[in-house]
Amino acid sequence: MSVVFRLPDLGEGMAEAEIVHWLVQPGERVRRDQPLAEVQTDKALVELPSPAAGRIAELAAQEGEVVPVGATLVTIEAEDEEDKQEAVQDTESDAENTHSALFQAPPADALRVSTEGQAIPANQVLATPAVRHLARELGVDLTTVPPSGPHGRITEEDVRQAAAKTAVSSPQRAPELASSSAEERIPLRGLRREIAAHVTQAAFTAPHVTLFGEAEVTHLVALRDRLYPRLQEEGIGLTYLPFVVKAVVAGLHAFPMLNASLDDAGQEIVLHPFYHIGIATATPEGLLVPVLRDADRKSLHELAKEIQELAQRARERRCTPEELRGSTFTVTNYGAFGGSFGTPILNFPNSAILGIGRIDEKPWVRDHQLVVAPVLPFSLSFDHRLIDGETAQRFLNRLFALLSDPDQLLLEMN
Amino acid sequence: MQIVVYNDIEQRSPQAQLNLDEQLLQAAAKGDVGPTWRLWQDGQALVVTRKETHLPHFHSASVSLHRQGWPVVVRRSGGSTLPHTAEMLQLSLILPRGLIVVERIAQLYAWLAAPLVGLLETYGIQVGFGEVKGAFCDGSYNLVASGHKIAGTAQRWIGGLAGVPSRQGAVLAHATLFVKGQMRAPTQAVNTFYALAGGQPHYEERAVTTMETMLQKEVQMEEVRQKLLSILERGDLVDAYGNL
Repeated sequence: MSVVFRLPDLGEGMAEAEIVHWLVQPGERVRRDQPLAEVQTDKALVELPSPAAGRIAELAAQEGEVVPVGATLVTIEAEDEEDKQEAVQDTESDAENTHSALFQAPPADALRVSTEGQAIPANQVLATPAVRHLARELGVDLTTVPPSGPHGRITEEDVRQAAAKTAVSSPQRAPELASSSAEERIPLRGLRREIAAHVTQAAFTAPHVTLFGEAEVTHLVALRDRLYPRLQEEGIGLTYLPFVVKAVVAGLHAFPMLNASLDDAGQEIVLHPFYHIGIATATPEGLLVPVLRDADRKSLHELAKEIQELAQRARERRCTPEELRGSTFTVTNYGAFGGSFGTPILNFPNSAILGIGRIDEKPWVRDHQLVVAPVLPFSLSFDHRLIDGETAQRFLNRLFALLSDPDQLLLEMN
Repeated sequence: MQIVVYNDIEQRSPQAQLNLDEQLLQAAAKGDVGPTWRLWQDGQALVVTRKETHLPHFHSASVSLHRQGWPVVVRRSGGSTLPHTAEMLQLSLILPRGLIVVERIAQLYAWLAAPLVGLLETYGIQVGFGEVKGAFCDGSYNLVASGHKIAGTAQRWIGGLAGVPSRQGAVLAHATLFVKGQMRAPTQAVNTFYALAGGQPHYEERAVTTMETMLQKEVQMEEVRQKLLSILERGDLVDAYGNL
């Protein structure tokens, strides 16, 4: 049986690596875990150990060649029955952890359980949970998918190909436009690739609904103007964001479904007992979402300081991994760049995200009088599987009330 | 997790220093050495990777550079040619993956950078990761201050794949911090090496900086070393990056 060894994803969303040095030659016998090659990405030289004992049948790339993740590197004629089995098992467990198909044996005809066009019973389909999940996301019936994995197993690629064939939503190559020599193609890698995967998962997993609204914030503007010089003395630039976070926490306390997530596998709604607010932050490389932990237990002063520090660290890519995970609700402030309304995509698995726009002076009716007042626009996207429109609107109403009358907000604070 | 801090003050040649990192890495893979920080310095040398040894005129270039006071030594981590001088501080982190879960290249760079970021902050120098056009041994995980490379980093993984937590092994991450002096001569030496060896000499002095240049005042090597040592021994920065 042949074991095909493919380039795994070695780094944070890496797209490719360079084959620096082959440590074996075709025809050579190798032990399991014997280093086969050294590859380089991000200045890390990484040994690739053999997944199986056997004889090297083919080296599929030259030294110095840059190969994409998932490309075949080596084909090994496995000799040890145990290794053959382990290689297959590794494929399953590692693919779960890294989304990389590491060791895929070409399908032996005798092992195929389906051929194109022939449907088989669902309970006979061989696929990992991750592949089944993807199939559900893309609306693909696994019983109609021809497998290409070992032992007739359906792979992620099989599902994606099937989805593309049936015109169901799936990542597709951009349509060919009139070609131009001025066209530039930028490899999707690093943080951009992580963002792409994250928003795709959110967009195709959670049915989004977005509500819009505006709050008149004359008193909030006055309060912020009064407090600003005090915090400025400490080097803290007080924005409206800490006030919004305080109001959000009060709203989440009243409407806990917006501080929840859906455990799809367990079919359970998880209500979070803490208030960790993700703050979407633009960085030169793309969007990062550092997390304000336990926002309910912090004063305005503490929130302002921490938001400033987190944003700064995020922009410099100095946030710790811990600071970038675990949010229960997210706020995105495109108002800082002049925007008013948006349709934010959920920071999955959060059930809701609040977009805030720029405060602008607008005509506003107050006590039957038309006045010019500062107005703060909101956009709230939520996961309709968990939250109904009524709940979401009531949450927004609570936010409007608290930010229009910050005295109420002060009463809500711990 | 206790990490041994090895304040290595022994004088060795640059090649012997690199060999020691390699020996510690191999020992860690066998389980003979636990997690270790090693702080060290060496003399003037051009430290190339094995990729550079394949350049068409590598050997003659090495002889020529040696005559000019820049012996060429080979390291086994990634990247490309990096100059070492006595005005730079070297920091190595060796981790056996059997004891510590290290899955990602970025994660290891974050751990390596944490004490250096802390050190530079005590001098008021803010740094982040990033590429710097024109810098030698450039990469996404340079430490960058005001757009200039102030420290270079690289890694080597043995006995187990990055990206695959189920396979153990050991990892080495090392950094070179540019502390004192000017970067003109080191940059010129790298360009000369590539010109003679048949590579592309295109590095610019202004892409790289030192602590002294950033601070516009003299910095004492021993003081910097002691500050970094105390940060390593305190250990809290590493905890913040992953609870080692």
